[in-house]
Amino acid sequence: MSVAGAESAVEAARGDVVLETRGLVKRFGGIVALNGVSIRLRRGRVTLLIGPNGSGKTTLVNVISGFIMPDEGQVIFRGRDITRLPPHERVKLGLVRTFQIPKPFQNLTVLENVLAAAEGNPGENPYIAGVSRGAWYRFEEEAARRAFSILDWVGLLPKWDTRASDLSGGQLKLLEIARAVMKGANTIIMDEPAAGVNPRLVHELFSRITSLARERGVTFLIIEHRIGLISEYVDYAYAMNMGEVIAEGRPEDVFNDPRVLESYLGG
Amino acid sequence: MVNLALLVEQTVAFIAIYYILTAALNVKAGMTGIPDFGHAMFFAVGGIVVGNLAGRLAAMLVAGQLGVSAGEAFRKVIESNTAFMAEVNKVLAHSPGASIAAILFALIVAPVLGGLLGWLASYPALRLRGDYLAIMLLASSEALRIFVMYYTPIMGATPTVGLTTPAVFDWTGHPTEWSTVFVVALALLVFVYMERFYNSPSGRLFRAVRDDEDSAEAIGKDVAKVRRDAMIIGSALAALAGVAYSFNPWLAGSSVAAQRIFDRVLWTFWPWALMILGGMSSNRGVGLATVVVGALLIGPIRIYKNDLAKALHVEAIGIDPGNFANALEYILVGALILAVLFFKPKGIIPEPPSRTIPRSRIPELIEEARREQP
Repeated sequence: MSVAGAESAVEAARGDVVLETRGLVKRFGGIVALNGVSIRLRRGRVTLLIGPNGSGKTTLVNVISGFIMPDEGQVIFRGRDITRLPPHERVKLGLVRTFQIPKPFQNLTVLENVLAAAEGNPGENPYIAGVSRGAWYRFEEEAARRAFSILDWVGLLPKWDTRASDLSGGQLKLLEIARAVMKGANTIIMDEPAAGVNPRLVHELFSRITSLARERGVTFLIIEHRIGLISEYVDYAYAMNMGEVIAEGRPEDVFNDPRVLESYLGG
Repeated sequence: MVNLALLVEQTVAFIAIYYILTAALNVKAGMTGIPDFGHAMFFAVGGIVVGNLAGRLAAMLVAGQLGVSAGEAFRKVIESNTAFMAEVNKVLAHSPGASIAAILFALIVAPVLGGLLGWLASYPALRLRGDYLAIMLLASSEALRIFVMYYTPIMGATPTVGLTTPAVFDWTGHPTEWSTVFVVALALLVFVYMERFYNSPSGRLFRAVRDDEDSAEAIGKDVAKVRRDAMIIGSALAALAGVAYSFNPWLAGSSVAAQRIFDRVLWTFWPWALMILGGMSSNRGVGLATVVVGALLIGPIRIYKNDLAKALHVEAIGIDPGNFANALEYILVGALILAVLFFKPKGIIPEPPSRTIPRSRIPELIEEARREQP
């Protein structure tokens, strides 16, 4: 398929709802972290989630990615109820998250970090891995070729043999994206990808995010505080406060919504 | 007077056993981050298989020559162990077939049973972490030791004496030499296997799970399964070390006793010390540490410790020279660990990356990757 053809196919499919939460409720003791949260992510779009500290954003991401079970409500992913699915099962469906504080495999190199994300590596069966190299070497080489090409694309290729513990904060965020792409993710949830990253790298990061969304139809949900830096890359926004969605719509409308401003000013 | 040939042979056998045992621990603790303080119980499985099962098999195979039925031989190995096994071993000395059968049987059955016990022990390992898990495994090992010591059908009625092992190398005419060749060959095989395993996608996966379980879950890895597999593989290898030890007349003598094969200092503490010295997760580091500590410390010290205590005049500062001599290897290894951790905190050879693809192939792959963009 030609690039133009692929793009128009992607364009045609854009806008379908990929992920939906319905009335999610999560209580921690007496605190209601999520109080009936319903959001929708559309295919190939970059959706932003904002809200002051403690508004429930990270809890929502944890529920969507399966790290926390909700007390009520549902998570629907591509038409399937995944509310009770363990995290690694959701990843197999293409729903991948990154962490607020990057969580690389510290003692593994950049290349190893990306290779580990390859799906279905026959060499990950420990009972044959050490016995028969032939059983996995072909797959591994193909995976490495893909990993190098992804690393080139995120700009980490010169660092391929560096241990993750020796990367800067910004490079770690790029590594997380590289891992998610390697995973073959169709939906990527990112918790504060721009936090602690210098503005130039933030723009680089988000231009890669938008190109993934536009060209490959990857869906993004992004939690971010530095909305000034990134608003140009965002298609749709939700604002949360006290465990509830208080505004949604086009980013600039949401940013200027009086309730949103009030929640940030600590009303 | 020191018999040098004997010292070398004993030291080599010792190093070989400890390499296997430490490499086994390294799969669990170094590579996967499971703090197995109960490592001795998996080693003990090897001893039990040799003393009980391989002993019974050997006895049944030679029963005809002793004028007893196979069933009788099976019972007598435990019921009148010392006297009956002495008879069995006399016949085994002329029965290479039965001897080799007993060796092969132990080599296959012990890892299977060790792996099974590792699989059982992995269930708490799925729910517990860190020090809780470490203490749980330590306690399991001790509980199993007590059980085996007093449940006589397993290791006989006297925990400190144990069962006479089948003398499976007597037919060679040089049992001590050949049993040393056997353990060294086994250790080399395990080393090659560990190198291959480490430099495979599985080696990388184990290390990834150790570094960050959440992150591993987040890229779709079944962390519970990885921890279970590490327990099974590490424990199976530990049982193999137990077999190599129990068949070796230099190290085990002619019998295996529950009290000794479950010894938490010998089979849990020492492998931990060697692994930390060599480098957690580093197979070559573990190998080097075993050789260095084995060759420099254990052998010479066991022989010269009393002379050294005398020469140092420790009694002048109120220490009994005998006590000092007995504690010397621990003192020296303790000092060595402190020094290594101070100057090389990641061990003598720090953990390398898992090289699944030869380095020479990498530049070509990068070139190819650049041509075809993602």
